[in-house]
Amino acid sequence: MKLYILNVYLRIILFVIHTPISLLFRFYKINFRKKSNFTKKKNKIVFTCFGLDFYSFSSFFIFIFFFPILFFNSRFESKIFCSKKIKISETPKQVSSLITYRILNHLRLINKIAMNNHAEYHFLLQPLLFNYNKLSNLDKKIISNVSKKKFNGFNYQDYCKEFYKNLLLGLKQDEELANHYEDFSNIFEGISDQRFIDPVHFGNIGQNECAKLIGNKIMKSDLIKRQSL
Amino acid sequence: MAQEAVPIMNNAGGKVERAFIEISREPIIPLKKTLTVARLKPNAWLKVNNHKLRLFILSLTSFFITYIYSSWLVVEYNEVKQYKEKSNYILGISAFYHDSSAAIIKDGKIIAAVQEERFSRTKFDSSYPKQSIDYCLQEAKINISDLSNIVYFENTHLKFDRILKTYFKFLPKSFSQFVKALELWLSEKIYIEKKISEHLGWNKKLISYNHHQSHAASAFYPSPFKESAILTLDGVGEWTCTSIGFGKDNKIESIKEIDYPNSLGMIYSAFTEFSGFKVNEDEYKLMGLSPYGNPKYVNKIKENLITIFNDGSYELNLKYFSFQYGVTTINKNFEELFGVKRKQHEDIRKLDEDLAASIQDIFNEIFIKLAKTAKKLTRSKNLVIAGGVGLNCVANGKIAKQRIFENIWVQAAPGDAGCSLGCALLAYYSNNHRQVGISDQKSSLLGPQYTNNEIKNILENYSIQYSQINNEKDLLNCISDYLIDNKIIGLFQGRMEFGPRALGARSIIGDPRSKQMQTNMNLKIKYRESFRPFAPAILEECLDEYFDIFEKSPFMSFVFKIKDNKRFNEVINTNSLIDRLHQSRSVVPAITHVDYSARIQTVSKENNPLFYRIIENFYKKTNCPMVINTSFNVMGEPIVCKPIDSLRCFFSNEMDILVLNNFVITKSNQKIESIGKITERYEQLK
Repeated sequence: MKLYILNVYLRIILFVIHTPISLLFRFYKINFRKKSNFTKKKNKIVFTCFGLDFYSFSSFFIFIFFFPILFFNSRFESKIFCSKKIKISETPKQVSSLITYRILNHLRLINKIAMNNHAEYHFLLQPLLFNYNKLSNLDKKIISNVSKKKFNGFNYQDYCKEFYKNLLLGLKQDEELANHYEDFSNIFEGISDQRFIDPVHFGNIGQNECAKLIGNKIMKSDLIKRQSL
Repeated sequence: MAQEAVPIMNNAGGKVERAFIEISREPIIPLKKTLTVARLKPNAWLKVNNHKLRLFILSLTSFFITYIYSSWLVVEYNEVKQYKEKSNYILGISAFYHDSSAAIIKDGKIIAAVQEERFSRTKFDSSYPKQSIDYCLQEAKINISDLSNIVYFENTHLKFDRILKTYFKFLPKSFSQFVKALELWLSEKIYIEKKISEHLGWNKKLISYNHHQSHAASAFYPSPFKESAILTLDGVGEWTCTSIGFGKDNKIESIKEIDYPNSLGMIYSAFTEFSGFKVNEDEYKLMGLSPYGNPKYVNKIKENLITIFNDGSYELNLKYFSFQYGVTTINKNFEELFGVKRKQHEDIRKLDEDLAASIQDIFNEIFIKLAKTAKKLTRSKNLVIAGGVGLNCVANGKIAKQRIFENIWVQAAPGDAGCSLGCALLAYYSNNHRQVGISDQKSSLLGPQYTNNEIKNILENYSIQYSQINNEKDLLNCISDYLIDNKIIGLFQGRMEFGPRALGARSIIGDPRSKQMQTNMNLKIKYRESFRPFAPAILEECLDEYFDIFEKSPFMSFVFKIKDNKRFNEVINTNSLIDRLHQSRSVVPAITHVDYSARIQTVSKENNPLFYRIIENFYKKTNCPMVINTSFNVMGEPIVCKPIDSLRCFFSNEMDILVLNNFVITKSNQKIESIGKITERYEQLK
């Protein structure tokens, strides 16, 4: 039986019957002055009906319109024994180690394809605003805006820094990949003009600088030498 | 025949052969003869030429051995079977409300108890404790069919009675919550005992007890007292929110109760919500915040929110609360009284600190009054405490300080998790005599443990670099040296703790003499609010030297103040929480709260031997008999359970060292890929 039918039925009964009676009871409420608020209820079963123990007649009368639902009880889909998916926190170290692990796997695949096809490739770690010490006013503003938003209680900056640290370490530790990457993360050090427009994107000056470096890298590579031959 | 054979056997060559032939001529070979043959030297009997005889003797000997072995196996099997049949195994289950758990006892002795959150990795997991039940059965080495009883921790129909009446009373405000509750109850929860029985394949009737009975049992039966007053305080059970009872031998009796909606748990949750913390989870943070504030709202709270009677009973003014009919605990009237509630990400205000201090003062007053009433009603010299509110170790400490009772014992898992243990014990002691000590909880190390081999396999599977130190003395020295070097260590040793506190089996430890340790641990290890204090784990015999202590506290149940001679008196008064936090207040600044208090764990040689030796070794080297002890987890996650959980936690923060049984792991030389692999494993479970 679908739960929404149950829901509609419950709403009708509660609205038409229970709410007016409840309001009526409250209208006749009497308050006594107390010296203590300790009670000692007996909590004895008054009677049992359809396997349901009632501890007072009032609860029986409140429940009386819900009895028909008990006949369908076994037909409702039971979810209480289903296993739930886990909720885990994600610290910058965890997120970065996971992404690093996946990226390294991808890079190994790229490396294998490149080797099989006798192709040369370079993996470039792009510039990141958080890696710079000398910041312009706009840079500071960008960082301050980014810092306002938190992910799992951590700043975006924490995730990025940790990721770069881990990825560089992972690349160094891997024999196959160690010679195939270039760290461009702080190539703008020493350039006084505004380069970034957000923590990972840069404007014209930045793009020109970056393009020059990539060009030089390609020019020096075997790929050009082989084509010229 | 044996006598005849001996001189012949001592001779060499053919004479021995003759001896065998002589034996073989006997019509039936008796057992004695076989034994005689067996006593011959091997080289002697190999010289026998009669192959048939040799085969016959060999067969007879094998038959004899097989017969003895199989008879032994049958006897053993029957004994195990009879033992299992005779043994009274009871499984207790607490589920579907808050912090699910399972516990198993055998003839009153606690075999295992564990919270589901540790396996499911979801903090305060309220779902069906499948993994906990499986673990309990595995630890007891039995199947469901070997159990004598399965017990559920609360009376579902009585609880339903409360839900019906309360929501009915508050209609139409409660309309939407009433619909939701009815939908859940009518489709799932109303016949929960039957459903659990069916799910477990249990043919007998599942027993259930009242929620507060389970709490009371969890406090009284494992306690070291023959008779005792019992105080249970929590949010709500069926109807009861607070109860005073009396336990003697195997009997527990409830004397006085306070019913819903007058709940201490609910009023504390209301202030927790107002201060921007999570209800039903972060109440302990409010308790940690209270020493920073001035209790200047006590009168305002008493005038408007709660009436406290002389006997410790109390009544809430429901005008300010919405928990009776809504999802939240406080309503607009509450905010009109105290101001706008803090949002989770906002900074903690002075108002939050003062309110935390005020509600704590009110709690202290109620606790003391209730304890006095309990004393008056029971005339007992002992008190046991359980229920989620029993986690308020500041108030527990106040009762202890008043010396109303000579002895106080607080259950290690006073919350709903402890109910699984309580209901199982209640079922056992309803038919059995009680002897003090049988159900001793010791150091509450009742969870799973892992062998060195299991850990080694995991470390090697994930290519984690480690060093194995098999000599305990060397291991203790290694831990002490790291602590002295201001390193933060993750400790994973033996069976896991049952209850919310880490007691040395799944702990993060550090040097309490370090000024920076509290801030470092809060911000870099636990990633939690910087104001939160850390607890010391101290050698039992050195307690008096450091603390004004009134009770032993093996489960971190009491807060006591540090002795005057250990305090630093030059403290600058300032309103800033951070400034106050950074001031050194004693010779052990990392565990001294702003009011010179500390939530103490006393460690004894008998109950927690390994942890004791770790602290003792540190003491020998530093003359400081304590270490910082905080739970092995990061913010928002339950305490680690398995070695892989501890590895994941270790690599997720700035912790320096991980000690997994005999394996010491540092962060240097680890491959990034190994760490990524561990994280990836959890990603798949999400």
